[in-house]
Amino acid sequence: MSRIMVIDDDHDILRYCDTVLSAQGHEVVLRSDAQLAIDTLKNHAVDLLIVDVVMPLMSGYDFLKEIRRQKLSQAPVLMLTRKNTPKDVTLALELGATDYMVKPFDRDVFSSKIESILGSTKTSPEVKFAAGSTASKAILSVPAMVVGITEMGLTLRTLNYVERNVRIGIDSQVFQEIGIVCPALRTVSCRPIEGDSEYQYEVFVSFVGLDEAAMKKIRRWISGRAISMRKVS
Amino acid sequence: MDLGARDFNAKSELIMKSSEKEMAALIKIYVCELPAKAAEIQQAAETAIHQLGKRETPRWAVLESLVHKLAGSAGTYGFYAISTLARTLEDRISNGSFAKIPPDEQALELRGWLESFLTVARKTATDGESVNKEAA
Repeated sequence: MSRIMVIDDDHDILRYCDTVLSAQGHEVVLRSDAQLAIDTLKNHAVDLLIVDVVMPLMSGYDFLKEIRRQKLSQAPVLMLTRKNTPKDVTLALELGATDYMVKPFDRDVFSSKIESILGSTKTSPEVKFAAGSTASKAILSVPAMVVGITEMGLTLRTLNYVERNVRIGIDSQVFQEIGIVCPALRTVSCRPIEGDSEYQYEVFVSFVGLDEAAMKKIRRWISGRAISMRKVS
Repeated sequence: MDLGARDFNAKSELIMKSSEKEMAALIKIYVCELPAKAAEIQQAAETAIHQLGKRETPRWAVLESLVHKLAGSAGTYGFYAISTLARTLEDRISNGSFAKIPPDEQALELRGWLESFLTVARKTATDGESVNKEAA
Protein backbone atom coordinates (compact mmCIF):
# COMPACT_ATOMS: atom_id res chain seq x y z
CA MET A 1 0.00 0.00 0.00
CA SER A 2 1.26 3.47 -0.83
CA ARG A 3 0.22 6.89 0.39
CA ILE A 4 -0.95 9.00 -2.53
CA MET A 5 -1.86 12.67 -2.43
CA VAL A 6 -4.25 14.01 -5.07
CA ILE A 7 -4.36 17.78 -5.59
CA ASP A 8 -7.18 19.11 -7.74
CA ASP A 9 -9.70 21.91 -7.33
CA ASP A 10 -12.37 19.75 -9.00
CA HIS A 11 -14.15 17.71 -6.32
CA ASP A 12 -15.52 15.28 -8.91
CA ILE A 13 -11.99 14.36 -9.92
CA LEU A 14 -10.90 14.08 -6.26
CA ARG A 15 -13.80 11.70 -5.53
CA TYR A 16 -13.05 9.68 -8.64
CA CYS A 17 -9.36 9.29 -7.81
CA ASP A 18 -10.21 8.47 -4.20
CA THR A 19 -12.49 5.63 -5.29
CA VAL A 20 -10.10 4.16 -7.85
CA LEU A 21 -6.98 4.45 -5.68
CA SER A 22 -8.66 3.19 -2.50
CA ALA A 23 -9.92 0.17 -4.42
CA GLN A 24 -6.30 -0.50 -5.37
CA GLY A 25 -5.50 -0.57 -1.66
CA HIS A 26 -3.77 2.79 -1.37
CA GLU A 27 -4.11 5.38 1.36
CA VAL A 28 -5.40 8.52 -0.32
CA VAL A 29 -4.94 12.12 0.82
CA LEU A 30 -7.12 14.64 -1.02
CA ARG A 31 -6.34 18.34 -1.25
CA SER A 32 -8.36 20.89 -3.20
CA ASP A 33 -5.66 23.53 -3.36
CA ALA A 34 -1.92 23.49 -3.78
CA GLN A 35 -1.11 25.58 -0.70
CA LEU A 36 -3.02 23.15 1.52
CA ALA A 37 -1.05 20.35 -0.08
CA ILE A 38 2.25 22.14 0.67
CA ASP A 39 1.22 22.58 4.30
CA THR A 40 0.41 18.87 4.54
CA LEU A 41 3.69 17.83 2.93
CA LYS A 42 5.62 19.72 5.62
CA ASN A 43 4.50 17.08 8.12
CA HIS A 44 3.52 14.05 6.09
CA ALA A 45 5.50 12.09 3.52
CA VAL A 46 3.75 10.63 0.49
CA ASP A 47 4.80 8.06 -2.09
CA LEU A 48 3.14 9.69 -5.08
CA LEU A 49 1.65 13.08 -5.93
CA ILE A 50 -1.13 13.43 -8.49
CA VAL A 51 -1.38 17.09 -9.45
CA ASP A 52 -3.80 19.14 -11.55
CA VAL A 53 -2.28 22.02 -13.53
CA VAL A 54 -5.03 24.62 -13.68
CA MET A 55 -5.97 25.59 -10.12
CA PRO A 56 -7.12 29.04 -8.97
CA LEU A 57 -4.63 29.99 -6.24
CA MET A 58 -1.49 28.18 -7.29
CA SER A 59 -0.96 26.27 -10.52
CA GLY A 60 0.32 22.73 -10.57
CA TYR A 61 3.53 23.99 -12.19
CA ASP A 62 4.14 26.48 -9.37
CA PHE A 63 3.32 23.75 -6.85
CA LEU A 64 6.00 21.53 -8.41
CA LYS A 65 8.58 24.34 -8.30
CA GLU A 66 7.69 25.08 -4.69
CA ILE A 67 7.92 21.54 -3.33
CA ARG A 68 11.26 21.01 -5.06
CA ARG A 69 12.55 24.41 -3.86
CA GLN A 70 11.52 23.74 -0.27
CA LYS A 71 12.67 20.10 -0.62
CA LEU A 72 9.30 18.98 0.72
CA SER A 73 9.04 15.83 -1.35
CA GLN A 74 10.98 13.81 -3.86
CA ALA A 75 7.95 11.62 -4.55
CA PRO A 76 7.16 10.98 -8.21
CA VAL A 77 4.57 13.29 -9.67
CA LEU A 78 1.78 12.43 -12.10
CA MET A 79 0.29 15.51 -13.71
CA LEU A 80 -3.45 15.06 -14.34
CA THR A 81 -4.81 17.87 -16.44
CA ARG A 82 -6.98 19.08 -19.30
CA LYS A 83 -4.00 20.92 -20.82
CA ASN A 84 -2.81 18.76 -23.66
CA THR A 85 -0.35 20.59 -25.89
CA PRO A 86 3.17 19.16 -26.34
CA LYS A 87 4.40 22.43 -24.76
CA ASP A 88 2.44 21.66 -21.56
CA VAL A 89 3.78 18.11 -21.42
CA THR A 90 7.36 19.29 -21.98
CA LEU A 91 7.08 21.99 -19.32
CA ALA A 92 5.72 19.53 -16.75
CA LEU A 93 8.48 17.03 -17.46
CA GLU A 94 11.14 19.75 -17.30
CA LEU A 95 9.80 20.77 -13.89
CA GLY A 96 10.30 17.23 -12.66
CA ALA A 97 6.97 15.50 -13.27
CA THR A 98 7.36 11.77 -13.75
CA ASP A 99 4.35 11.26 -15.97
CA TYR A 100 1.47 13.15 -17.51
CA MET A 101 -2.17 12.20 -18.11
CA VAL A 102 -4.76 14.22 -19.94
CA LYS A 103 -8.34 14.56 -18.67
CA PRO A 104 -10.69 12.97 -19.43
CA PHE A 105 -8.86 9.77 -18.62
CA ASP A 106 -9.59 6.07 -18.71
CA ARG A 107 -9.82 4.31 -15.34
CA ASP A 108 -7.80 1.25 -16.37
CA VAL A 109 -5.05 3.31 -17.95
CA PHE A 110 -4.99 5.52 -14.83
CA SER A 111 -4.70 2.50 -12.52
CA SER A 112 -1.94 0.96 -14.63
CA LYS A 113 -0.01 4.22 -14.71
CA ILE A 114 -0.21 4.53 -10.93
CA GLU A 115 1.14 1.03 -10.43
CA SER A 116 3.87 1.51 -13.03
CA ILE A 117 5.02 4.75 -11.42
CA LEU A 118 4.98 3.33 -7.90
CA GLY A 119 6.81 0.22 -9.09
CA SER A 120 9.53 2.32 -10.60
CA THR A 121 10.12 4.81 -7.81
CA LYS A 122 13.81 5.44 -7.45
CA THR A 123 15.29 5.05 -4.01
CA SER A 124 18.96 5.35 -4.89
CA PRO A 125 20.77 8.71 -4.62
CA GLU A 126 20.82 10.75 -7.78
CA VAL A 127 22.82 13.74 -8.95
CA LYS A 128 20.47 16.38 -10.32
CA PHE A 129 21.51 18.85 -12.97
CA ALA A 130 20.22 22.38 -12.69
CA ALA A 131 17.25 22.92 -14.98
CA GLY A 132 18.40 24.13 -18.37
CA SER A 133 22.11 23.57 -17.74
CA THR A 134 24.03 22.97 -20.96
CA ALA A 135 25.70 19.85 -19.59
CA SER A 136 22.38 18.12 -18.96
CA LYS A 137 21.21 18.31 -22.57
CA ALA A 138 21.62 15.09 -24.53
CA ILE A 139 20.12 13.07 -27.33
CA LEU A 140 20.60 9.33 -27.21
CA SER A 141 19.85 7.44 -30.37
CA VAL A 142 20.02 3.65 -30.29
CA PRO A 143 18.70 1.00 -32.65
CA ALA A 144 15.47 -0.58 -31.48
CA MET A 145 12.47 -2.46 -32.77
CA VAL A 146 8.82 -2.02 -31.86
CA VAL A 147 7.42 -5.45 -31.11
CA GLY A 148 4.07 -4.57 -29.61
CA ILE A 149 1.71 -1.75 -28.85
CA THR A 150 -1.09 -1.33 -26.33
CA GLU A 151 -3.08 1.73 -25.31
CA MET A 152 -0.62 2.03 -22.41
CA GLY A 153 2.57 2.06 -24.42
CA LEU A 154 5.06 0.19 -26.58
CA THR A 155 7.19 -2.89 -26.17
CA LEU A 156 10.60 -2.38 -27.73
CA ARG A 157 13.60 -4.56 -28.26
CA THR A 158 17.01 -2.98 -27.99
CA LEU A 159 20.68 -3.76 -27.51
CA ASN A 160 20.96 -1.46 -24.54
CA TYR A 161 19.75 -1.73 -20.97
CA VAL A 162 17.55 1.22 -20.04
CA GLU A 163 16.84 2.28 -16.47
CA ARG A 164 13.23 2.52 -15.34
CA ASN A 165 11.54 5.90 -15.28
CA VAL A 166 13.68 7.38 -18.04
CA ARG A 167 12.02 9.66 -20.52
CA ILE A 168 12.80 8.67 -24.08
CA GLY A 169 11.70 9.52 -27.56
CA ILE A 170 11.59 7.24 -30.58
CA ASP A 171 11.22 7.72 -34.27
CA SER A 172 8.97 5.06 -35.72
CA GLN A 173 6.76 4.67 -38.75
CA VAL A 174 4.09 3.18 -36.52
CA PHE A 175 2.94 6.59 -35.25
CA GLN A 176 2.39 7.84 -38.80
CA GLU A 177 0.27 4.78 -39.49
CA ILE A 178 -1.80 5.39 -36.37
CA GLY A 179 -2.08 9.06 -37.27
CA ILE A 180 -0.57 10.60 -34.15
CA VAL A 181 2.56 12.54 -33.39
CA CYS A 182 5.09 10.44 -31.48
CA PRO A 183 4.27 11.09 -27.82
CA ALA A 184 6.72 11.43 -24.97
CA LEU A 185 7.59 8.04 -23.51
CA ARG A 186 8.72 6.79 -20.10
CA THR A 187 10.45 3.48 -19.49
CA VAL A 188 8.53 1.18 -17.18
CA SER A 189 10.51 -2.04 -17.33
CA CYS A 190 13.56 -3.51 -19.01
CA ARG A 191 14.37 -7.21 -18.98
CA PRO A 192 16.98 -9.33 -20.73
CA ILE A 193 15.70 -11.66 -23.43
CA GLU A 194 17.02 -14.86 -24.89
CA GLY A 195 16.69 -16.29 -28.36
CA ASP A 196 16.92 -13.00 -30.23
CA SER A 197 20.18 -12.77 -32.14
CA GLU A 198 19.79 -9.06 -32.81
CA TYR A 199 18.53 -7.58 -29.54
CA GLN A 200 19.29 -8.23 -25.89
CA TYR A 201 16.60 -6.39 -23.91
CA GLU A 202 12.87 -5.95 -24.03
CA VAL A 203 11.72 -2.58 -22.79
CA PHE A 204 8.17 -1.47 -22.05
CA VAL A 205 7.67 2.26 -22.45
CA SER A 206 4.54 4.07 -21.33
CA PHE A 207 2.90 6.89 -23.31
CA VAL A 208 3.09 10.22 -21.50
CA GLY A 209 0.48 12.94 -21.96
CA LEU A 210 -1.73 11.33 -24.60
CA ASP A 211 -5.19 12.81 -24.84
CA GLU A 212 -8.38 10.82 -25.38
CA ALA A 213 -8.43 11.50 -29.13
CA ALA A 214 -4.96 10.01 -29.57
CA MET A 215 -5.88 7.08 -27.30
CA LYS A 216 -8.90 6.37 -29.49
CA LYS A 217 -6.76 6.34 -32.61
CA ILE A 218 -4.43 3.84 -30.96
CA ARG A 219 -7.33 1.63 -29.83
CA ARG A 220 -8.83 1.69 -33.33
CA TRP A 221 -5.49 0.90 -34.90
CA ILE A 222 -4.92 -1.99 -32.50
CA SER A 223 -8.36 -3.44 -33.05
CA GLY A 224 -7.98 -3.02 -36.80
CA ARG A 225 -4.94 -5.23 -37.25
CA ALA A 226 -2.70 -7.82 -35.74
CA ILE A 227 0.46 -6.23 -34.49
CA SER A 228 3.40 -6.91 -36.71
CA MET A 229 7.00 -6.24 -35.96
CA ARG A 230 8.14 -2.88 -37.18
CA LYS A 231 11.62 -1.59 -37.43
CA VAL A 232 12.33 1.71 -35.76
CA SER A 233 13.64 3.94 -38.46
CA MET B 1 -5.59 -24.95 -8.19
CA ASP B 2 -4.49 -24.89 -4.57
CA LEU B 3 -6.66 -23.45 -1.83
CA GLY B 4 -4.43 -20.39 -1.43
CA ALA B 5 -4.77 -19.41 -5.07
CA ARG B 6 -8.53 -20.01 -4.98
CA ASP B 7 -8.81 -17.85 -1.88
CA PHE B 8 -6.75 -15.10 -3.54
CA ASN B 9 -8.85 -15.20 -6.71
CA ALA B 10 -12.08 -15.06 -4.71
CA LYS B 11 -10.79 -12.08 -2.75
CA SER B 12 -9.71 -10.29 -5.95
CA GLU B 13 -13.15 -10.87 -7.40
CA LEU B 14 -14.78 -9.46 -4.26
CA ILE B 15 -12.57 -6.38 -4.38
CA MET B 16 -13.41 -5.89 -8.04
CA LYS B 17 -17.15 -6.22 -7.35
CA SER B 18 -17.06 -3.76 -4.45
CA SER B 19 -14.99 -1.36 -6.57
CA GLU B 20 -17.52 -1.58 -9.41
CA LYS B 21 -20.34 -0.90 -6.95
CA GLU B 22 -18.54 2.14 -5.58
CA MET B 23 -17.90 3.40 -9.09
CA ALA B 24 -21.55 2.95 -10.04
CA ALA B 25 -22.56 4.90 -6.91
CA LEU B 26 -20.07 7.62 -7.79
CA ILE B 27 -21.48 7.94 -11.31
CA LYS B 28 -24.99 8.23 -9.84
CA ILE B 29 -23.86 11.10 -7.61
CA TYR B 30 -22.26 12.77 -10.63
CA VAL B 31 -25.49 12.47 -12.61
CA CYS B 32 -27.52 13.83 -9.65
CA GLU B 33 -25.25 16.84 -9.39
CA LEU B 34 -25.19 17.51 -13.13
CA PRO B 35 -28.29 19.78 -13.21
CA ALA B 36 -26.65 22.11 -10.65
CA LYS B 37 -23.47 22.25 -12.75
CA ALA B 38 -25.51 22.89 -15.89
CA ALA B 39 -27.43 25.69 -14.13
CA GLU B 40 -24.18 27.33 -13.08
CA ILE B 41 -22.86 27.18 -16.65
CA GLN B 42 -26.19 28.43 -17.99
CA GLN B 43 -26.05 31.42 -15.65
CA ALA B 44 -22.47 32.25 -16.64
CA ALA B 45 -23.28 31.89 -20.35
CA GLU B 46 -26.42 34.01 -20.11
CA THR B 47 -24.53 36.70 -18.21
CA ALA B 48 -21.95 36.72 -21.01
CA ILE B 49 -24.67 36.90 -23.69
CA HIS B 50 -26.30 39.79 -21.81
CA GLN B 51 -22.98 41.63 -21.56
CA LEU B 52 -22.27 41.08 -25.26
CA GLY B 53 -25.70 42.56 -26.04
CA LYS B 54 -24.68 45.68 -24.11
CA ARG B 55 -21.34 45.79 -25.95
CA GLU B 56 -19.49 44.99 -22.74
CA THR B 57 -16.62 42.52 -22.61
CA PRO B 58 -17.75 39.45 -20.67
CA ARG B 59 -15.62 38.00 -17.90
CA TRP B 60 -14.83 34.85 -19.83
CA ALA B 61 -12.69 33.43 -17.01
CA VAL B 62 -15.76 32.31 -15.03
CA LEU B 63 -17.37 30.43 -17.92
CA GLU B 64 -14.01 29.10 -19.09
CA SER B 65 -13.25 27.70 -15.64
CA LEU B 66 -16.65 25.99 -15.41
CA VAL B 67 -16.45 24.33 -18.84
CA HIS B 68 -12.79 23.44 -18.24
CA LYS B 69 -13.75 21.42 -15.17
CA LEU B 70 -16.74 19.84 -16.85
CA ALA B 71 -14.73 18.83 -19.92
CA GLY B 72 -12.33 16.92 -17.68
CA SER B 73 -14.75 15.36 -15.24
CA ALA B 74 -17.64 14.45 -17.58
CA GLY B 75 -15.39 12.47 -19.91
CA THR B 76 -13.70 10.75 -16.99
CA TYR B 77 -17.10 9.65 -15.67
CA GLY B 78 -17.98 8.37 -19.15
CA PHE B 79 -20.18 11.19 -20.43
CA TYR B 80 -18.32 12.01 -23.59
CA ALA B 81 -20.97 14.11 -25.37
CA ILE B 82 -21.04 16.65 -22.54
CA SER B 83 -17.27 16.55 -22.26
CA THR B 84 -16.86 17.23 -25.98
CA LEU B 85 -19.32 20.14 -25.89
CA ALA B 86 -17.59 21.66 -22.88
CA ARG B 87 -14.20 21.21 -24.50
CA THR B 88 -15.36 22.91 -27.70
CA LEU B 89 -16.34 26.06 -25.83
CA GLU B 90 -13.30 25.96 -23.58
CA ASP B 91 -10.98 25.75 -26.59
CA ARG B 92 -12.82 28.57 -28.40
CA ILE B 93 -12.41 30.84 -25.37
CA SER B 94 -8.89 29.86 -24.36
CA ASN B 95 -7.29 30.00 -27.81
CA GLY B 96 -8.68 33.49 -28.41
CA SER B 97 -10.61 32.59 -31.58
CA PHE B 98 -13.95 33.40 -29.92
CA ALA B 99 -12.87 36.93 -29.01
CA LYS B 100 -11.90 37.62 -32.63
CA ILE B 101 -15.46 37.46 -34.00
CA PRO B 102 -17.94 40.36 -33.59
CA PRO B 103 -19.89 40.51 -30.28
CA ASP B 104 -23.27 39.76 -31.90
CA GLU B 105 -21.81 36.64 -33.53
CA GLN B 106 -20.25 35.64 -30.22
CA ALA B 107 -23.66 35.97 -28.55
CA LEU B 108 -25.35 33.95 -31.30
CA GLU B 109 -22.75 31.18 -31.15
CA LEU B 110 -22.85 31.09 -27.36
CA ARG B 111 -26.64 30.83 -27.37
CA GLY B 112 -26.51 27.96 -29.84
CA TRP B 113 -23.88 26.22 -27.76
CA LEU B 114 -25.93 26.71 -24.59
CA GLU B 115 -29.02 25.14 -26.19
CA SER B 116 -27.06 22.07 -27.30
CA PHE B 117 -25.38 21.82 -23.93
CA LEU B 118 -28.61 22.03 -21.93
CA THR B 119 -30.28 19.43 -24.17
CA VAL B 120 -27.45 16.95 -23.65
CA ALA B 121 -27.16 17.74 -19.91
CA ARG B 122 -30.90 17.21 -19.35
CA LYS B 123 -30.88 13.96 -21.31
CA THR B 124 -27.93 12.70 -19.31
CA ALA B 125 -29.52 13.69 -16.00
CA THR B 126 -32.72 11.88 -17.00
CA ASP B 127 -31.31 8.76 -18.61
CA GLY B 128 -28.17 8.46 -16.52
CA GLU B 129 -25.24 6.45 -17.68
CA SER B 130 -27.04 4.54 -20.41
CA VAL B 131 -26.90 7.48 -22.81
CA ASN B 132 -24.10 9.67 -23.89
CA LYS B 133 -21.49 7.00 -23.44
CA GLU B 134 -19.38 6.69 -26.49
CA ALA B 135 -17.86 3.40 -27.47
CA ALA B 136 -14.22 3.35 -26.50
